[in-house]
Amino acid sequence: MEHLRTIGLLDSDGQPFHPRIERVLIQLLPRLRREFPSLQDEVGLAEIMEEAGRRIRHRERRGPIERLHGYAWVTVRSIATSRMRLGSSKLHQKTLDSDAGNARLLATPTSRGTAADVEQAVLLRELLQTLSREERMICLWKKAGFSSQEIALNQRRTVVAIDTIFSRAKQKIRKALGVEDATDGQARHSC
Amino acid sequence: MAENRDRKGANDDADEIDRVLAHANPNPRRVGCLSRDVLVSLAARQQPLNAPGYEHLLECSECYREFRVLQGDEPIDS
Repeated sequence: MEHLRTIGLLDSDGQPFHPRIERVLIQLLPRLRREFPSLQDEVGLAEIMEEAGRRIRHRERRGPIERLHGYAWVTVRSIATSRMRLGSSKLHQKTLDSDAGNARLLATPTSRGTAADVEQAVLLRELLQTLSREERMICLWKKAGFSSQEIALNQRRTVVAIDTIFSRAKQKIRKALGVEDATDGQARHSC
Repeated sequence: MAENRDRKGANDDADEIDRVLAHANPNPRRVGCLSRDVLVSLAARQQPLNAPGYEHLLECSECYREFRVLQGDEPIDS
């Protein structure tokens, strides 16, 4: 408002409006801000007021407006409503300020680090800890692609012993996860 | 031949072991994580079974997932 008071409102010829018109328009500015809160750009507000001033002046060529304040408000509201329909205003309406943006980000679901993820990790860690160190290492080596023979040689055990430990470890995991054990027979053969 | 079957049967598909190791030990700050070179050499089985890197894979799900990807497996999502 101070901004408009300072620079003044100008018509299309760059001339100031009649002080009576300008005074009414500046008085309407708080109401415009209140009823159209998304119109925050000072230049945009000034353009609305200047367009309203031009229409009022054009209307007054036919004679003085009896209720200037009311007429001016209807004019300002009409112009502001039209501006709201423009693409740039629509973008502005859909743009959040920083506080609202942060609030929205905090409320946005994430696929990582959610409570469900943490809960799953705790359960899986507990499950992993039910395996002996040897069982865990054999499972990992198997996933790394080492053969039972290579693992047996390294651990100074028989291949059968390694296969048995691996098979039992997988059974434990499947049982804990509630996985059907239909492939267990196959798993034993493949180990 | 039997050796190949043995390797394929154990590590080709994402299974319950993958599910556990890929999610049991989240380490989002990547504390003590292995370098990519080490992960590559582990994935290629260029290190002995007793290499300390394998121990880390049991304790860090992030490294385990990278390790599995480097082996040429699909990323483990669930």
